[in-house]
Amino acid sequence: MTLSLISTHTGSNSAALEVLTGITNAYDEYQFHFYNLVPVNDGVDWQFQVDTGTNANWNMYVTSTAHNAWHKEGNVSDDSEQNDTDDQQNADQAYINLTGTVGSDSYEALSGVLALYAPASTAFLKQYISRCVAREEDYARDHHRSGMIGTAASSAGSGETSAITRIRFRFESCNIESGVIKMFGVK
Amino acid sequence: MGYTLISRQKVDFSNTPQTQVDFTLNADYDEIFFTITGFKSTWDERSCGYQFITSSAGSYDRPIQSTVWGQWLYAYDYSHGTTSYEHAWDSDIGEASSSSTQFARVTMGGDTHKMHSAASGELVIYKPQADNSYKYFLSDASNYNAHVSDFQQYQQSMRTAGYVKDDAALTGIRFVSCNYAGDQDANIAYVDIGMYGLS
Repeated sequence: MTLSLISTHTGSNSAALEVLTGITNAYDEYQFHFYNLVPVNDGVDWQFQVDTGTNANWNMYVTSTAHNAWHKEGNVSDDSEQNDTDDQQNADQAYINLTGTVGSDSYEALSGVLALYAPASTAFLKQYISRCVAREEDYARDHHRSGMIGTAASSAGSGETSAITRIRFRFESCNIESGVIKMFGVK
Repeated sequence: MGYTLISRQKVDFSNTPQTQVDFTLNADYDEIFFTITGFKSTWDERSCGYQFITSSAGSYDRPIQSTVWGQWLYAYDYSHGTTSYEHAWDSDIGEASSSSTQFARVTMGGDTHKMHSAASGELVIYKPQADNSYKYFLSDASNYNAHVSDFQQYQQSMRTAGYVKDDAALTGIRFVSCNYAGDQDANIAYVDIGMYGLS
């Protein structure tokens, strides 16, 4: 497997980090690596949405699953679960939670990776897998996500006709204080 | 630039078992990616453990907080449990200060009864050189346990996420054989570890 760095995106009190170019049919898989992303406010979700370039509303149709695991310092609390708060069904057209809450206290951050498969396909739903680690309120948190993205509602039954060309990352309700996203193409 | 092989170390059955395998962490990369292949201890029911050192710390004993979840399946009858939290393999920051719980575990236990029993996996550390953040990591490992009896053959997976609660740059990592609590004992009979950098 060979990763080629396509672009680097740095947050500095940014509302969002957008990748508006470089997602094409040149690669079968794109990976977005997250390095120490920190929200301005405490306890917010890290999210993404995509679009086709012609629809710039960041509201594609997503069906997703979410699994979380956590362990609080001092062995106070630990568990793991399938989480229906962070999953999404086709009709929602909302931003997809890649994490549960992320902290903004000193030295807190999130890191991880999102893999997006065959975004240029016009035949298939676009699939993704993500895994992130974060700290919030003395918890180590593991967030595993997977899903598929449609450019039309599945109830339309018309199949997939549009390629995804852009992606947008943000924290749920605040700016990105700092951190870096790197986009790689995979061959 | 894609993944770059920085170094590779191998403990083979043809060599003397090793007490530890140490790597110097390179500050030139955004993430350090380890492939851990075929881990096997000289003692029964041991895990591949790891710990970190910094330039200001005197030993491999940094506070690690981690969460672990996984699944298992018996090869004998295909019985299995549900995906669940794995309490025995997580780490708490307080444990690193005691030698009996010092090492975090990247794999579940392995057995020495059958030659084909071993554990393999991956560990990625993000921005180990950062001095303004704790050091975050993810791992994913597979283990095949093989006790004496045929019905005691089972497969486990183990996914770990956590952080090193230290704002100093990590300068090294040590892999050892340890018991389920994180106490280094026995030696590494076999492991092949590759360290890659990504930037």
